[in-house]
Order: sequence, then C-alpha cells, then structure tokens
Amino acid sequence: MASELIETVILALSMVFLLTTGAILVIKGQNKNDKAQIWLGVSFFSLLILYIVWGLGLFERYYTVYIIQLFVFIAATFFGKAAFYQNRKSAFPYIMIGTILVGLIQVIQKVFEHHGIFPDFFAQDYYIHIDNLLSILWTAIPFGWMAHAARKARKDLKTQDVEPWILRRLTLIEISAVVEIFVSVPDLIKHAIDVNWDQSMWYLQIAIITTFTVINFFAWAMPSWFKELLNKGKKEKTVAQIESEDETKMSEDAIMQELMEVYQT
Amino acid sequence: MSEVVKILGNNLAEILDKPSKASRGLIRLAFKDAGLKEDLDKNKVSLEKTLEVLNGSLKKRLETIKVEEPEEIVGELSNIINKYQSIFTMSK
Repeated sequence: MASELIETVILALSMVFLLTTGAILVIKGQNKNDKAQIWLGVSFFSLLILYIVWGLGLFERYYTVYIIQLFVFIAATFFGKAAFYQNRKSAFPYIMIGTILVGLIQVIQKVFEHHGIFPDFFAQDYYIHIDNLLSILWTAIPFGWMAHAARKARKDLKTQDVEPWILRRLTLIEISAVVEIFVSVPDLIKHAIDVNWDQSMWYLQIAIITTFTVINFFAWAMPSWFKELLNKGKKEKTVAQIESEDETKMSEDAIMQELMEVYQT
Repeated sequence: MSEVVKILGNNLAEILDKPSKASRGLIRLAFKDAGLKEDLDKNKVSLEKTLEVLNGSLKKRLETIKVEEPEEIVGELSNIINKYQSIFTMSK
C-alpha cells in the first residue's frame, strides 16, 4: 500500500515536471523566437499526454498510446534539426524516415492485434520479444541522434569562449536522451528472463521516466542557483577586466576608428 | 554579454587580426544597423536573422573600414555561426 502511494506520488511529480518544462519551453520559444524550444515543448506535452493515457489506461484501443508516441518522437526529431542542423547536412531525413517507419510498424501491429488479425503470430512466444526490441529501436533512433547531436555541439562549442552553464546544459540533454533510450529495456528484461521481476522492472521504468523528466526540468527551467552551480569553475574576472573587455561601452566612432587604424597599419 | 556576439566578434578578430573588443563592437553595430539591437539585447535573435545581418549590414561595415574581400569574410563567419548554431537555443 505504502509503495503504491510512493510510486503514484513519484509519477505525479514527474508529470508536473513534464508539464512545467513543456510550458517553459513553448513560452520561452515564442518569446525568444526559438523554433527548437517550441518543438521540444510540443514533444514534452505529447509525452505528458502519453503517460496519462498509458498510466491511467484511458483508451480501450491500446494502439492510441503508440500513435501519441509517434508524435513525441517526430517533435523530438524536429527539435534536433532546429537546434543543431539548420542549413547543414545531417542525418535528419534518415532519422525522420526511420522514426516514422518503425513507429508505423508498431502502430499497425497493435491495430492488427486489437482487431484479431493474424492471431497465431501474436500468440507466439517470440512476438513479445520482437515487440520490445522494436520499442527500444524506435526510442533509440530519435533520442540516440539527439544525444549524438548534443555531444557534438558541446565539443564544438568548447573551443569557443562560452559560459560553462551552456556546455553543461548540452551535457544534461545528452544524458537525458541516453536515459530515455533505456525506457523500454525493463519490458524486454521482464519478458526475457524466467524470474518474476515484474515489480522491480516497473520500479526501474519509473526511475528512468523520473530521471528523464527531472534532468530536463533543470536543464530548461534553469533556476538561477542551478545556473550558478553549473557555472562553477568559470574564471572570475575583476571589475576592471570586465569593463576593459566590454564592447558595449565603446562608441561607434571609437569602434570604426580602432578597426580602421589597426587595419591600415 | 551575448554569446552570439562573442563567437562572431572573437572569430572576426582572428580573421582580421584585429582587437576582439572592437570586432565584437562591429558585430553589435551591424545588428543595430539591421534594426535588431533590441532583439540582440533581449537574446531574441535567430540563426536566419543573424545570417541576414552578416550578409547585409556587416558586409557594408567591412567595406566602410576598407577590409579586403568582405564577401569571403562574411562567408567564413556564416560557416562559423552555422557550425555553432546550437548557441541560439542553448543560451536562451
């Protein structure tokens, strides 16, 4: 009873984190003209709907969950494109095609299962393993790409003079994307081994979902104390240093003059 | 300090072998010329707008200070900001 209450509270808190993060992303994306943040916000809202529908078993037609999941993954892939690969060659078309293709396979097999088409196939012992492996592959395509893109962007930006919290935000995105890839692994383990680990695997799945939502909340809500924490190790500058490097204090004439003088000498 | 200005200004300084403070100032002036000063100050600029600024007002500013081959410099800066484009989303 107590453990049920704890898991309900944890899941409810995760949903609150998802809702808050999604709202922050959509509002900030609109205010700051950032399509990438809007796409990620849409993905989080869809994920919230998915968890509610899945958690409460709201639909008799179970394939509805997979249709919502397809929206989550498509929006996450658009985030990757908008944040990392605008005007650049990337694997985006292949990732999108792969995400939609595997997603449609998942949806179609659930529709068939629901309507009793090919019952012999769905009754086979191996079917559940194929289903679980497909789920892992499906999650790994968009989130694996997201993790890869965030890692590459962090490595590139490391060569530039940027605030440490920005690099660490990229690390958080990378970690959360990797964590999300494992969300269906407990289902695979549960069915693959001959031990009754149903409850343990359920807890593991809750832990993965919670870790993903909490990391993303802190990465995107970025409370000021957390930003300061991520900025630890930043080289502190004296007031005189800051002022001497501040270009906003320079007049237009001074800028043009200095550049022309130096260029002509 | 705007991270976009820092990246563009510091790289411009390296390309031109000029002081980075003045180069960052030139980037700010280019945004101001394009009517995007407020957007820059509020961290609202996008990659598309930045590329427009580089190819428009920054190019003119480079011509004013008589830099050789401003077209090439602007092209190089466009490649640089494309490479580091995640800064637009990650710094907001």
